[in-house]
Amino acid sequence: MEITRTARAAHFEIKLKGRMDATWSDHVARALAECVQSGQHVILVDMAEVDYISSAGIRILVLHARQLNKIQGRFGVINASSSVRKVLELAGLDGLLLAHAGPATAPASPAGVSPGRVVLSEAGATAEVFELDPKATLCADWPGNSAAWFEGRAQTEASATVEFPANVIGLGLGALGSGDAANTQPFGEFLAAAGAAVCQPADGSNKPDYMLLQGSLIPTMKVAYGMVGRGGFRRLLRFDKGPQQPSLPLSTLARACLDTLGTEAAGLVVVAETASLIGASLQKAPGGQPAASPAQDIFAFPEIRDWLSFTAEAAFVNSTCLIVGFAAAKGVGASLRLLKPLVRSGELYGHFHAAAFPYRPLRKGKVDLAHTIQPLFESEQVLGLIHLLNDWRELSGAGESRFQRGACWCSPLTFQA
Amino acid sequence: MLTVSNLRKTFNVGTVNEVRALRGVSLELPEGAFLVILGGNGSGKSTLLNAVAGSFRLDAGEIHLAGQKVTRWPEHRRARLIGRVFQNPFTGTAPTMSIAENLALAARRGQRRKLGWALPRNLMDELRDRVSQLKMSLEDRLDNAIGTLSGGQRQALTLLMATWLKPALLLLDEHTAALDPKSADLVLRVTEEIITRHRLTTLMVTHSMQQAANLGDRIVIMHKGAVAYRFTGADKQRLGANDLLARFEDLRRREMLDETAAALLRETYL
Repeated sequence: MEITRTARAAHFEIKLKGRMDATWSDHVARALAECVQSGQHVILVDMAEVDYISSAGIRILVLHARQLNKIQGRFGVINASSSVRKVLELAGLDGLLLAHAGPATAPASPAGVSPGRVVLSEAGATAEVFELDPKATLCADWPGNSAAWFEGRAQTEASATVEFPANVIGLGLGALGSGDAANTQPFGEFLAAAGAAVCQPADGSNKPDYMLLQGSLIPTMKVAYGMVGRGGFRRLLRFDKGPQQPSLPLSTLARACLDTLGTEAAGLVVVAETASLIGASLQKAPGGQPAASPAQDIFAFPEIRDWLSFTAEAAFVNSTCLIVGFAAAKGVGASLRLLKPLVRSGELYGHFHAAAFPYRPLRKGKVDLAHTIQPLFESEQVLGLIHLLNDWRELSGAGESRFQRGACWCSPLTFQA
Repeated sequence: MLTVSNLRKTFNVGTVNEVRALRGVSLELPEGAFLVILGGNGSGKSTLLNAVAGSFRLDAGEIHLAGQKVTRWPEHRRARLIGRVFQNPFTGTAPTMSIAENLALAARRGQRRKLGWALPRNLMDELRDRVSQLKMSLEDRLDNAIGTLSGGQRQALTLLMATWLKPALLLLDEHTAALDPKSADLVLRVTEEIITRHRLTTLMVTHSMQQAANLGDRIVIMHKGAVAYRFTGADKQRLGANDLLARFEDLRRREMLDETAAALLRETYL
């Protein structure tokens, strides 16, 4: 079978020639998946020269039609040969799969929205900016106490109970549940946004657990230390790496948020088609030592190996991630608790946690945060949760977490007096 | 049943080829336990098995087996307590002798040698009975030379021989690694049946995550001559092949976390 890919003005065309049986369907599936991952959400498959299609082939077409329909994309078969047309009609799938020949039109963006466009980097990354609520801010707060935890002195009783309804974002070290220590998981790094709280217990299993806002069930956590933002989002950035570079680094995105908001400190939630993540996860929770015991230094080498697992190379390659974080410019960043340098020059500070899911394309245009996050939890497994870091070491450094495209909701941070 | 404490062994001491193969390994295996030892190349898993079998002198450590201290026992003396199956299907059996003759040798292991019929009728009946339990249709071919059988069939028979006298400890050293996938599955099925039937205390070395996930009631993952992870009971039951693979990834990441990474984390983590 021959598979020819052509980019047209408003859509992407894949021309097939030969038999679409079980063996070749795998190749077609791979070609289609690549196409979707490269950001093409309008795909037409030319089947004029396909003389046979089996149910294995139909399955691939249906899967992609459903996937793209779900994210307001478009998928269809054009110029179907008589045998393909007959099979699809008999299977009752002509309505779903057969597209009318002629120029495809991308779905129009909802009326009343006229996004601005900003350039993110010299390498051609851009973002559409949607104004959501010009008055919205996130009010920053730091529940728990990081110093005590990292010196290993704190007891579980010293932690704070924090609720995560839809309007609270947060990250830190904590445990799902609010009851006694017996009712909660071991402590671990967590993130929370739009009523979803994900926590990876630091017991070495690397299996994140999560709680979702459902009815009157509000995710609640015991937080050893953390940073939360309460409020709403001012702007949505739909960013894309652009055609010239393979991916877009986290620091560029964080910088773009501060710039577009015109603020020194911001809270953000990102859902991104991800190239790779770099970071660390706790393997053993500090704390729980009697108050009189000597302070622990978890960063001492080689003991650090028992405490932290550092990716040291690209991890969660080609995944879709939910990221919660806080970013700040130099001066403010250095003064805010839990914020650390994001870039080597120290120009940008931040703290980001990411939960990775298997790859899933995101709908284009203006999207709602809760509606974007929900399907991730509904149909995918959480692969892992890590604290994102910039590995800027000379020669051996793996660099930053990098993304293809995605959505970033952001708001300026405000601080209580 | 088996207690191994703080085993240490360095090969080629003082040369460029010095290898610290065992760096203080301890294990405790109650009667009837089935321990799977998983590890990469050079992790020390086979060395550990050889240490238990007595193939070399230890630098330090003690081994107790079936209530006796066997640390200084030579290999042949320990053989009375230990049944063993190797990776190579050609090492466990005598190729020119028949199936029945090979099994007869196994049945008389450790007994006093005296002159008599090698294959009396009552023994033949028992042989046929036990071989038929392999469900490999070998019971009709007891007179065939073992050299004419396939690797999988030979390995299944070696297993039968090694367990004929219900040893205090069964050692399996990657005993399916040299077989094709289908034969390997067959031998694994036989392995599981025999171990369950006789409630044998077993140590199995493998580098197959799938085998480790499916077999045994406990797992030890070895790395650089030491035990990196141990799982028993419910922890072992919920481990899948992918979880084990993730543990190996953890080990690799551990190695990669060097002093420069530690300094970076100190500066940027919290």
